[in-house]
Amino acid sequence: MESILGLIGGFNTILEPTVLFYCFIGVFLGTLVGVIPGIGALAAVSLLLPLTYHLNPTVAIITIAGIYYGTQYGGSTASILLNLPGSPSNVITCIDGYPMSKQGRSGVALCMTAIASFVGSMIGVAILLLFSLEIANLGLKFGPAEYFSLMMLGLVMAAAMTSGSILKGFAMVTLGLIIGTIGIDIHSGIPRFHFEIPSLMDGIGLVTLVMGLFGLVEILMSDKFQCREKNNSITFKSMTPTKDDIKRSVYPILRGTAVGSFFGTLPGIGPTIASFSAYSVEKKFSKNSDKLGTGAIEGLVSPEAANNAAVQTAWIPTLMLGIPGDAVMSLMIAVLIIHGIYPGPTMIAQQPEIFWGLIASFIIGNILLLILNIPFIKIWVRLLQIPYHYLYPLILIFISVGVYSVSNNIFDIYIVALIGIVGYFLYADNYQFPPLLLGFVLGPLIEEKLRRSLLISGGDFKIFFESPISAALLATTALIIIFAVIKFIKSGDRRS
Amino acid sequence: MRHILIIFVGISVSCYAYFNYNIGEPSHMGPGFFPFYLGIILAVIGTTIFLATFNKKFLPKKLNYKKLIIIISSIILFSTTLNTLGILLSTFLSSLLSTYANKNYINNTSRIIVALTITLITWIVFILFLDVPIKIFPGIIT
Repeated sequence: MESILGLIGGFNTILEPTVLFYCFIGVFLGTLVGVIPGIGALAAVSLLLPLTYHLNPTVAIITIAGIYYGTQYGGSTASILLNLPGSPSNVITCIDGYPMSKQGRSGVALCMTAIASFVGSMIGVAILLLFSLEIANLGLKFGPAEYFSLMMLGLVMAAAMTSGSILKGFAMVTLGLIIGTIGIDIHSGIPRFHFEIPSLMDGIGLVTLVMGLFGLVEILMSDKFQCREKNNSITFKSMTPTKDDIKRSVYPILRGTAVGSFFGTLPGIGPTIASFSAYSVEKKFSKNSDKLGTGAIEGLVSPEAANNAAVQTAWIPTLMLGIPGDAVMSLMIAVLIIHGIYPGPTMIAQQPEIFWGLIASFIIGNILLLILNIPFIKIWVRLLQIPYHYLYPLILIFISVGVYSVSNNIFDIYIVALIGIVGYFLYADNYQFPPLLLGFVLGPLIEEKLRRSLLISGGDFKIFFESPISAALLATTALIIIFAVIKFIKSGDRRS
Repeated sequence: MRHILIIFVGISVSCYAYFNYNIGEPSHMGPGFFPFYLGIILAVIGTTIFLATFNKKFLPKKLNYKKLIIIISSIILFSTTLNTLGILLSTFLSSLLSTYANKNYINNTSRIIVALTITLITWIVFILFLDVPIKIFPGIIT
């Protein structure tokens, strides 16, 4: 089968010492940063992004991907030991993980989490493989109109799926699209919204935007980690799970993986929603559902398997269709685009080395993580004991220097500060940023597809409805908008 | 009531696009086409949000202005001194300033120690490890 051949080629790429090294670095740094509460996958990837700028595209994306699923692993450690989610998708892990810790079973919890995450990831990767070629074939039928409708769907889903008001999600998407127009318009060569400032001719950089919105705003909003108890040391012996633990975990892991894999493929839905849903599924279907919340192992492994599966399957729409599975995926797309690679149905055919190298790296990376997590847990725990007020100035400097290092431009740092201020006020009003990021990343692409479609059709908007694929996508988009508006009117939007 | 700002941004974007760039028509989109309509859409969404939240009591999240000012100032301090003082001094001064945003420091000595440590880490990671092309000390060219 083609997939197997491709995968073997991918292993060729990843097993080269340099590439393997960077994959390890990515995974290691990801876990490290993921362990720090308050810094989620998004902030972790943003902070570490400048480090990958000077690597070649394959290595860069492998490293960043490693950071991403590394943070999932690391985040669960903080959730279990400190009741502090390392990232939003780890919130559910706290519910049963922390009680297990209090019962003195933290070692077992950590071990089972690692295993559940690994299984979830591997099955997610398998699904990724299965689907890759199918969707790629479908993609050959995509013209500019279809792409436009697909991206619209992605944006609308992202806006609708984030927490908080859906209208605000739409506002953020639009704002992101607008910010994306800053810079030179490729088509006409005219710089837009640059206000005579030379540095703005290239537009606002991705790193700048992301550091400002996710790094700076995070620091502005946070006060402390709220550390409570210090935990006793974890020995190897205390980490082995009992036979009963393993028996009880099998089905939850499988259920969680199924839920996670499904949700991961949907654009706009990511590991967070996946883990929440897995928990509710567990509540309904588990034999021991009454024990959930008191330190039941089912409640721990199911969401963990789910969020890792979701992280892997989120690559399906991201790579195959060019539609981000969630906010971090939009970052990935941006990174690829910066390196000149355009994810989408043609990616497998045009850049197979990168595609298969990436997939092979998922497998290797997850194995690395499994091995990493076990001996390194003590280090992570030590790290967690550093008080927040020592860490945030360091993070601030990392943001400033990181932003500067991208294009050696002082002005970028001023922009970050400005974005931080604006973001702070937006966040205070319950506006969420992931939809903005998606709008920013997809903006130029959507505009180009729109322009091309209308050029072909001579200004006639009917072109978007003439092809069945495009029409179906737009219809789904409209459905989601209608559904969202109805929900909004019904609830009276208490969460204003 | 800050939602009004969104409407304002939308309208100003559209106006700016209208007066400065060629809008064109659908079959021949000009550079101003996309931003113009986006601005209108944003203004419409903003108005809807504004109307929807008009009657509700406004419960803003607590905003810590002191922290905001200190942290943003520390970043601006960094960017203004980076080229004149070099990265090490710049880092030290701005991280020192940023520590004042938090009440958990015991005394000023601990703040200085933290700032020094951060400067050290910055040196290790960005100069030794990553070789970022930036002035290290005031007056010396790298």
